[in-house]
Amino acid sequence: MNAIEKNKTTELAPAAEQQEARLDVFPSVVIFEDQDGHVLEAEMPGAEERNVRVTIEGRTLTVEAENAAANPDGYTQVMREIEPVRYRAVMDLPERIDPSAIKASFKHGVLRVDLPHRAETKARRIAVAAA
Amino acid sequence: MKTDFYSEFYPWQVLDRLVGFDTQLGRLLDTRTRFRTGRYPRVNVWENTDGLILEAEVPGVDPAKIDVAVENNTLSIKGVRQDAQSGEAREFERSFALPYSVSTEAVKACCKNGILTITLARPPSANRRQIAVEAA
Repeated sequence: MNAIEKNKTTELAPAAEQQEARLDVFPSVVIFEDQDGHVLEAEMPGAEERNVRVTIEGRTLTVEAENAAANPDGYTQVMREIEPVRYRAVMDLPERIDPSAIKASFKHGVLRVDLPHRAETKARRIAVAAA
Repeated sequence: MKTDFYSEFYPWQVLDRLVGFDTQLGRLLDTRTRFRTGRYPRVNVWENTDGLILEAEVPGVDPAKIDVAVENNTLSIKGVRQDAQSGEAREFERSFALPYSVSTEAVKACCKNGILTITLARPPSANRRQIAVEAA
């Protein structure tokens, strides 16, 4: 008696990669300090606010976005200096920064992440009592 | 410094390949070099018979402060980039040699998310006349 082949589950082949390969790039980043804490500004032109991902895991901050890089229909490309890329920066934040108070905003293609310092690490004036 | 649309090979491609685009050093040097040599901002250009589209990467630049102008056969983009940390204002300008002359009505520019998109409509050719082909 022939062994009855069990119904094989059709392996769903992964969908063909629709996007062209994107280059992983570390965006141009500037980090500076103001009176409340640090500020990180990452240049991500071509990304959209809703597609920018800012995640914090423990003390690791990750900022990620992809630029739009769409080719208009019915045109031939004559010059190409902007590639489709994935902007990505991962960094460990110093202890002074309070992860729960981090705020991010995106404007004119620049992501600004406010990294406030913990209150107790900021300078405090201590009163001097007459002894 | 004008960039010729139709030159397939331009010397700066060599620099782009030597210092990889995907390295941080490459991108840093690239931006600085581009500023110095008048090739900032980076652009992508597409064309068809009706006109052309130019996209430029201008992160951190206030769209109201970008100056797009056409004069004869030249399109120029001028603006000021505010350095976040030092507050220093750095001017940039880049010009492009167009294959045809356009009037200002034919140019549209919009800027979103740090990308400036300029659409140019090609003027209808006034001199084009059909020539009848006679069967010999």
